[in-house]
Amino acid sequence: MLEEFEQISKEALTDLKRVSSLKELEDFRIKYLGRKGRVTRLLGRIGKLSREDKPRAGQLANRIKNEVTEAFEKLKAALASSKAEQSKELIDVTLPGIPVEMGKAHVITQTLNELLEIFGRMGFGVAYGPEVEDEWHNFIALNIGPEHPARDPIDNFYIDDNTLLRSQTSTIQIRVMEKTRPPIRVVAPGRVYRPDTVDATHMYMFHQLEALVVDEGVTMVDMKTTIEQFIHTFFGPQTKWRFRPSFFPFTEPSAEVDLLLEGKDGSESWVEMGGCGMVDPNVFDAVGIDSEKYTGWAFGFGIERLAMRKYGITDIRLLFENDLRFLSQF
Amino acid sequence: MKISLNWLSDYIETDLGPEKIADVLSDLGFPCESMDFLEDDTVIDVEVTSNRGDCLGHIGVARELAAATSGQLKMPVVELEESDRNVSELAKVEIAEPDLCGRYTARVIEGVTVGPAPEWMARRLEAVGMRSVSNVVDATNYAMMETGQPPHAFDYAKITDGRIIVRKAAPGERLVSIDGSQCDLNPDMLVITDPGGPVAIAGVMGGLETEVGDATTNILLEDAYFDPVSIRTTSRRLALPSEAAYRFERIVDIEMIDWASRRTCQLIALAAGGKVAAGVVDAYPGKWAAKEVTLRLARLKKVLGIEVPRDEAMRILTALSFQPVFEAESIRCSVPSWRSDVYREADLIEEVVRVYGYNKVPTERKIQIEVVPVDKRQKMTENLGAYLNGCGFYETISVTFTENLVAELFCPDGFRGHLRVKDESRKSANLLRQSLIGSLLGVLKTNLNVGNRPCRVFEIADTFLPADGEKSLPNEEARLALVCDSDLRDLCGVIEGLIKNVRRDAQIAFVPAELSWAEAGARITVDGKAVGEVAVVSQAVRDKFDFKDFAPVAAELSFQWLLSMPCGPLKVKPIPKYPAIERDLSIIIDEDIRWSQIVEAVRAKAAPELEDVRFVGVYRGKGIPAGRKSLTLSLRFRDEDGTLTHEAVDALEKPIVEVLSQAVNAELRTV
Repeated sequence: MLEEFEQISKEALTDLKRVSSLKELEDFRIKYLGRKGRVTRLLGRIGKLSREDKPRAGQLANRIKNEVTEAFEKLKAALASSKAEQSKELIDVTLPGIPVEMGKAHVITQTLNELLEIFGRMGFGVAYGPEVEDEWHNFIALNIGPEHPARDPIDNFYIDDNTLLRSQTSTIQIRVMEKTRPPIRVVAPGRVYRPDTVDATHMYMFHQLEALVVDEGVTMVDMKTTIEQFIHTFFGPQTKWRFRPSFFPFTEPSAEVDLLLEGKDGSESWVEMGGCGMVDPNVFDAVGIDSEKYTGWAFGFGIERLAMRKYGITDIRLLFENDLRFLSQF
Repeated sequence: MKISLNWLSDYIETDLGPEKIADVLSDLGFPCESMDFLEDDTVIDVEVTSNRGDCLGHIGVARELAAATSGQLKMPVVELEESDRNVSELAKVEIAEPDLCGRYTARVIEGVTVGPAPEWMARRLEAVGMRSVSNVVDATNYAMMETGQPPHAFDYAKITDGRIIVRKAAPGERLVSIDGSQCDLNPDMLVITDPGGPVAIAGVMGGLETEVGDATTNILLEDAYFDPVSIRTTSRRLALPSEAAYRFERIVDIEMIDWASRRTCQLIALAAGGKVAAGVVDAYPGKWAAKEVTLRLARLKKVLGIEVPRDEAMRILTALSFQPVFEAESIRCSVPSWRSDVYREADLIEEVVRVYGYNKVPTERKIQIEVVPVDKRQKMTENLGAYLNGCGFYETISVTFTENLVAELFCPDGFRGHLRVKDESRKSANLLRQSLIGSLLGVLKTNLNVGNRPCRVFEIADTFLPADGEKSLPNEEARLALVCDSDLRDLCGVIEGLIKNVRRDAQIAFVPAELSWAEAGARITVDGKAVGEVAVVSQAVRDKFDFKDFAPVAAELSFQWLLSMPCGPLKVKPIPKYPAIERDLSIIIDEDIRWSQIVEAVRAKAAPELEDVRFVGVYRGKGIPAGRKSLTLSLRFRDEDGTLTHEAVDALEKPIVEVLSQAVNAELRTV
């Protein structure tokens, strides 16, 4: 009986030695270790033995089962690993990634978003206005009298005698002040239009951003402080800048904002960034705000010029040609 | 305006070097654009803003410099040796248009010898960019560059009866100007005439016929004031820009005209000899009235935020000739005649701070703010932009204009219904867009031409429809358009995602529609409301943009609508507890049956367990009869209260197959 047990054990281990594939191993498992396998069945036969034989036979059967199972598992692991070895492909980690086809926001939009975020953090809301405007909003209410050269029909895109494509975003100032009473603190972005011969630095359509603050007790000190904080946030805290007297019909006193910037050759020069000034009392009169009680300031500038300088774009036309080889760079 | 520092030193003594002078002028509001170092002179080109016509002469600039540096302005001393003959015997002036000509003075200089100008005069003129012509012409130019007042010298012999009549041109009148241009005058233009007709275009340019030449011996000298708008309009209309017009457009000093005329006579006599007839013919209908403006010190502080010392304000205003008088915490000023730009307190505030120094206005460490909500439009532009970028779409910005041939493709009314800017500002492609798709197709074409594929582009911009009813302004609507080189389903998927980005539970449908620009198109509806269009572009559109063997797809939506789409608070749905069972169904149907009909049929009588109906694909070809197609759809069933069995799903699927057979004549395809 026990010899038979030993015999099965021997056969099993011999059989196992001949196994050379996972398929054969599975056959082996079924033959010996499966539910009706020869080794498994040994254990079933113990119950039929006499009381004195049972312990020894039980121990022997268990030992055999453990031995065979252990040898089986060992071989199984070896076969599995050798199979993986054979079929192993090189994972080439240096292969290029699969490109994700993504688009980009236009560089003007990116610049505008950045500007609006900075002004937003400074407590400015956003205001919008129509691109086709009447003379009231584009000129008259802005204190641009009929004698001003800016009124020349040749220098504007008139649609009829009273309406034209706005030549500046200051029109939105008027619309905001007509609708809202102070305190006012807004920025107004948008497209503006002026007939111009197109070349590397001129385009008949471009974008502006204009800031307007109106309240009691607003002074030129506030204007300078806010503009400085803006410049230091957008261009960097070391940026040198200055105010220079200038003329705009809708502000008095008026100033040009110049930045000291480094050119391509490394030399620094003053570059005109935008215009600003204290809101002209005539403008307040036009929108029915008491100019004795309230004061205010406005600050406007072109967005193309900022973007062009920031990214070294030398031809404004690239901004409107929309060649993906250009747009994808931002 | 070019300033010779040599010349300037006639009117102001200063120790400042050229760079320092340029800096001072820049701080006063006259930035230096360039600086030329000549052998014995330095010329700086300063920008003069359009309100400062008084600084279009060396004296005006010297006055500013004097004010800023506490220097002394030295005016030239004018002494004329006049003849016994009175000018009233020689010249007469009549102003028929007093609104357009506020003052006209005439003087006569007899016995001049026309020849080359003295060297010192020619040199200074050349330094500031003016060509030397002759002693008489140079003397007038010199006077202009000195005083800012442009004189004009006529050959007296050619002025009939010595009579000057300032009037508007008569219809059909013509004049050959000094530069040889043939000018067709129109009745809006102010002209200087003699009894024989026009001799000059007022304030713009003299006539060739009455020009001073070598044979000229007697001169009639004009010094006048013309209406700035009239001069500008005429000069632009005739395309005749001139130094004179430039100054009249910016308002000359009407009170100083007689002085300027005397000064010019002095210079002519100096350069070309001759005797000046006694007196002046001075027609002065637009007599200047002195203006007083008061500056309150409290207001000065209120606007600037700093206190400018009273003495300093007084000094500045004195230096600028405002003759300030201090009384009751205010400064009363008398505005000099050359400062027509100053008429209010605000203007005086600028004068004071401009000379005091903008750099003396300090900045503080912080600003006061009030928190405002994020702007909805801005946020949506960024969010949807980012979503579309993620879908591979590039944002583009195109000009607002379009051309007739493109406009009519997208507008059922053709290009005539479009707003158009006037020809004088733009001759072609001068319509305002009513659709953005045309621009985007242009962008697509540009990119395909250089091999940029795939090409997916979008733009958010305003479109323009003519005003309706009482409104005077057009109807502007912000729209979002997309164009790409893939296919319709791809674009529809992008649009669905876009709208669901704004509102997750929006019910989006593509309703077949006849669109003027489309081969196959649909209206995009959200909760039943039309918000845009999507389509494969028509053959006509492809021809226009030259897309060969390839049909781009395009869509346009109202961005305004997306902005105003009502969005309730977002409520989260629980994740399903029990698994779903999916069944694919292939049916053979007629070619003209649309997906929307199938969905409608399936949904009509479906059990609540039917959770979703998805499109899988269409097959045409072997095994499918001509005129029919095989469509595979996938049905997803789920029971919220328990796990579905296959038997239960069989029972749910059966009526669906039946209803499809009835509604769209579908037969089940067995593979």
